[in-house]
Amino acid sequence: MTEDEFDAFYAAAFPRLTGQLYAFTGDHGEAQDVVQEAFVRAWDRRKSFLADNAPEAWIRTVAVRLAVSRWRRTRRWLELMRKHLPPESTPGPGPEHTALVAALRKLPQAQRLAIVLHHLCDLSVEQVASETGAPVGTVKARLSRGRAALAQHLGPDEADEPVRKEGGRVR
Amino acid sequence: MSDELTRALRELAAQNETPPTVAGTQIRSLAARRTRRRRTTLALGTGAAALALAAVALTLNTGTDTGPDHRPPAATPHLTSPAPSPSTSGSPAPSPSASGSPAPSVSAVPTAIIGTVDFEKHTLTIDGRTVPIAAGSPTLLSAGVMTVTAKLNLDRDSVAALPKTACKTADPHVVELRDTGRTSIYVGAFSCSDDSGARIRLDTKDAVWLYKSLKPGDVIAVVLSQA
Repeated sequence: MTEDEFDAFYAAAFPRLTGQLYAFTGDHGEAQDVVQEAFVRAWDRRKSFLADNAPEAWIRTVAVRLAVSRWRRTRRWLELMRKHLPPESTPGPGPEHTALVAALRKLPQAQRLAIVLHHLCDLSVEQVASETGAPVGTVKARLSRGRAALAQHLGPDEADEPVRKEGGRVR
Repeated sequence: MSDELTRALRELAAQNETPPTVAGTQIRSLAARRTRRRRTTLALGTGAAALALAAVALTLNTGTDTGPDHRPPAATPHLTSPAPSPSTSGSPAPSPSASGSPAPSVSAVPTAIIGTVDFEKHTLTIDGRTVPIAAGSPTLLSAGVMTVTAKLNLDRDSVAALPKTACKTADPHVVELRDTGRTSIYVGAFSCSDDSGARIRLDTKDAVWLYKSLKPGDVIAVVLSQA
């Protein structure tokens, strides 16, 4: 990959990746930070980066891992903040998206990651499993529980639907 | 639910896409800086390993280094004694105060190895700068370390190993090193009629640089050729 190709790839993939990472982190600044850092590492380690056939997936993996490790570090802090601050009322996206972000934030991190990778980034259950280092069965359980929890959080209209634990089995 | 969730998540992601805040070139220069930093760390690590190796080699060498004159090992004398003056450097003697006692605690590794003379690659490295050895691969040397014992000026000092009749000097500045076996090695910009013996020849500018870089007491690691 030449410098120009890298720059073009960066310009094209950066917005998409920040959107995906936002769904996972629920924080714009955080999403930008980890995606940017992942790009720096990609150029720093071009060999391993280019050996991978899916450069965008490589970046996303690195960014997600960065977000996870940051999340671990700040988990305690976040817990404290949540106790003291009223829920964020971000203007901008429609109310259903605010609700979705809020609902995603309530999920345990492992469930949220599985949901985002599977439903947003189109990874198969097996890919999610290898990405997160968890057994396939565990990933399926996380997806199913995550979906159930989201449905519950996302208001009465969707909660009215029966949570089809079996029917919600993933491909 | 799954499809709805996928759709909702996609919309959410699409709405929260952010354009890059820094240009691709900046990303690359950041990465390049990091690569350099990592290389430096690696080099330092290698240096530390070389130091440890040299320390081991020194320990092993001095185990058998109980010559008749009971001089301390090459690496230790000038840490405690002043540099020999040029006038006496024709036969530079290590610190007289230590002459009676054999090697003190050898585990007290010489303060710092500041360079390497590598007869495998024919290079000499001091403070990160590497220069080629133009000629000379002394056979008398043992692997381990050498200590700078004197800085000589051939216009002033006469050195038995560099007779004026046989050696032409491009620059009078010569550094004398000694290994643990008390063998003297001379480094400078000279060419002698025979290229054997205890001499390492450098380019003139390299020889001047070396003369300025080293001071008596400095310790240099020696890597011998495998041949």
